[in-house]
Amino acid sequence: MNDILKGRYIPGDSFLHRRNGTAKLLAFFMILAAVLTTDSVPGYLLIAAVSAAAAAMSEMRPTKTLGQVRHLRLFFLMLFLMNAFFYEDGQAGGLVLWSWGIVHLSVPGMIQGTHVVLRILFLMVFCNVLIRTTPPVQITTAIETLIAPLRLIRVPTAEVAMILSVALQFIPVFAQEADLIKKAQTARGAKFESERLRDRAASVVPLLVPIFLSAFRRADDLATAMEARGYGHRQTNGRGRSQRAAVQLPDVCLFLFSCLFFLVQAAR
Amino acid sequence: MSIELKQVSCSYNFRTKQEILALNGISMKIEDGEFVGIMGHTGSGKSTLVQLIAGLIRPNSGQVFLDGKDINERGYDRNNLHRQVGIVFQNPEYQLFETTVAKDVAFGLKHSGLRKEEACERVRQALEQMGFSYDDIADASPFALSGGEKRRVAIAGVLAARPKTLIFDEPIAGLDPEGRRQFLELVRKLNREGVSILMVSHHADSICACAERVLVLEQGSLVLDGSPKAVFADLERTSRLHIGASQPRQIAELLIQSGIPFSRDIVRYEDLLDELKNRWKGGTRCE
Amino acid sequence: MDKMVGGESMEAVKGSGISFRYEWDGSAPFVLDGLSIAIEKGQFVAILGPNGCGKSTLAKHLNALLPLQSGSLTVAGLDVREEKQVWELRRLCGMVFQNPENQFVSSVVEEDVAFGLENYDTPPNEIPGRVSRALEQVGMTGFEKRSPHLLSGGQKQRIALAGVLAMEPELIVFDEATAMLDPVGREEILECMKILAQRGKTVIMITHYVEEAVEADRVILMNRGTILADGKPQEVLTSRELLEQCGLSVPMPVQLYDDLAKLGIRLGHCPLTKEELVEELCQLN
Repeated sequence: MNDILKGRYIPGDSFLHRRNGTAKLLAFFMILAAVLTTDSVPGYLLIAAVSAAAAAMSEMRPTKTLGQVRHLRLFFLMLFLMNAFFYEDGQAGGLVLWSWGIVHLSVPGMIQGTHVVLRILFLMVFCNVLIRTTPPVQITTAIETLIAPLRLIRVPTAEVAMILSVALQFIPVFAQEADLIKKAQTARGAKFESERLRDRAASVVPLLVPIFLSAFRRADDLATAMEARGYGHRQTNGRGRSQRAAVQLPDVCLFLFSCLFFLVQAAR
Repeated sequence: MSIELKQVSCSYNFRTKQEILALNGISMKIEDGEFVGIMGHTGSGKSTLVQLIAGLIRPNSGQVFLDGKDINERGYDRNNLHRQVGIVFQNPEYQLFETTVAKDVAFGLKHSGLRKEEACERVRQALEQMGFSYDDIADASPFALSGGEKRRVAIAGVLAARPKTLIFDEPIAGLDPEGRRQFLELVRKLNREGVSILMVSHHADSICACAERVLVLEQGSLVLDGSPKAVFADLERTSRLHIGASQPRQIAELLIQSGIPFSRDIVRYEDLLDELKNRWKGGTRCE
Repeated sequence: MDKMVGGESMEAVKGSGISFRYEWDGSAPFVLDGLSIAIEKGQFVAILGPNGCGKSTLAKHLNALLPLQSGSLTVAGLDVREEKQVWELRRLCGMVFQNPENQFVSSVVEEDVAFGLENYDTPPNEIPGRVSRALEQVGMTGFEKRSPHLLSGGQKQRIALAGVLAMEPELIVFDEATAMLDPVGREEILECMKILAQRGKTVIMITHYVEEAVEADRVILMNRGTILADGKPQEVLTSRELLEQCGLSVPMPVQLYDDLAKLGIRLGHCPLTKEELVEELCQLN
């Protein structure tokens, strides 16, 4: 359960830490697009170079950028095998190594599987870099900035950002609480770690009911506390405006480089 | 049941840069039927220690023995462990989830293999131990009860399994004086009936009033282990360890500082009253 | 600001005939039962009572978090029923709540402290100054960039208090703000209360700890939605009968005074604190 806590912002003063949140988020989207359009070896090498650069700019050890990948190895293996065995045959008449009913182990399938796994791996790297170098507040501020035009069609953008921000920072609190409730119920005989699926299914209710109740209780407390501090006084207020970091030249450069990266990848 | 820890270390985020050592090579033994208070500053490792004993987390090194058996060994019956060692967390009322009080209290007996009548009888007794009338409360929704009642139902849910060792993690926080008095009476009674009690608390007065032995942790190490009198003998030390002292002990210290020769062995109210009585019996203002 | 609406009055809180029950249960007993209360500006008042006596419900009336069902209540010169003044009322009457986890809106201390200021459209250039002054008042300078969730309980409550102080309120209500803290944290918050009281703020402490109520200038004892006693700590907290009536017990020095008297040892005055007790005992020698 504490694993959730690991994938979070780590205070620091690297080049990427100092960048404007909106610029980072935009750059992230561009890189995301670039990664999704990549399908050649030189393309992956370029992505690898960019991710190494991102690790360097965030002063993270390259291995750290992979985050919790180890726990997902089974998922990646499944992903690869699914593609390798179930890739639509007939496409380009790829070489089929082995067939059994509807299952075909084909070379194009294996290539496709490799693509999917590599793309997701790289996406996780960039996602990790973003989350570890950007405080949740900056991410919500960035989202608020980006969805600001929606205000024209009467979407309460400040409120949406507020909800996001509050939700984000309650995640560690909930993770701890869920862990404690799980332990309390285990001590009373619930079988969360049982081999039998039936036992595990039966132990979901004793976990979920208390967690939901706790969420409501906390939300209620927080709403009262916010109201007591004047939230709702001016509905149109933007949050954190006063402290929003100004956009600097490196922020713009960061974004432009990510655009360039995307164009290079897409034009291949 | 006896509890023994041998060189137990435990850390969060093991083998990462953010590794936090929660317990550092702890060895100790708790005999059957003891009443042990566990104190220490926030983050000193108290909760980790009791969760290890309850088998809820595993040590990174070292062993935990219950009745001479290593509980983290392959093949150890963990269901049996959970029945023998009960743990009541801070705010236990938050773990309630069933539709009726009786069902919630019976939750821990589900996998015990007890006959239905036997299980029912245990639920009744546990609720009565917590001061409820079974017939009045069994079918009520736990969520319709007051905060204090919820907490008592939750404790009944742990008692129903009839554990031989009971652990309380900050049970007094948030209780008003009447609730605190009732709670302390209950744990004393359970202890007299032969249940070992491990109580984690910041409340020095309650620890001094009940416990016969106090363990003090600091940054994951066991730094003091002895009777309340021995642990609170040196108030500079206890204040450095952030465990304070009971009010009677503080009063005794103030008297000593004012130049009155007075015993440092005073941790409980009764001791203080006795000592004052002996000193000033037929005092100057006596009529 | 307060000049507009009867700010010249000497009373920070004035209410009479306040009754309240939670509407979702019509048969429920009154949580507040025709209660009347008056608190002067600059007083340090403890509202003491067992769990469920209505003290927190009363606190939530003070800045209109609960609607007044009957009776009248004026806080900082503002009528709590006047909807237009609700926000001004909440600025003037700050509150610190019980659970330190559940009152933060930001994961950065300085942003959280600024939350109230932003709600009240404080000019952006004033905010940093007021935030750092508020943090200084609670002794948390240097924690600006930290995450409140990684602080100790006492520190969390001090940050919550800083968020209230940044709005420069006239009175501050501590709604069982120490109940979930360890002894060190409780000491920190009590110290903050005393300092605020010394600086002339009206401080209202809601508590069920008799030992904390001792620190106030005045103690209002509540039970079952009404006020059972109201007076100086020396008057209210020495009455075993009154306190036991609502499931509380007298402070230990008072208990000792009584028990010594039974043994024939009489102290000159009934002491409330350990220090007073020791002083009295020394005079026996």
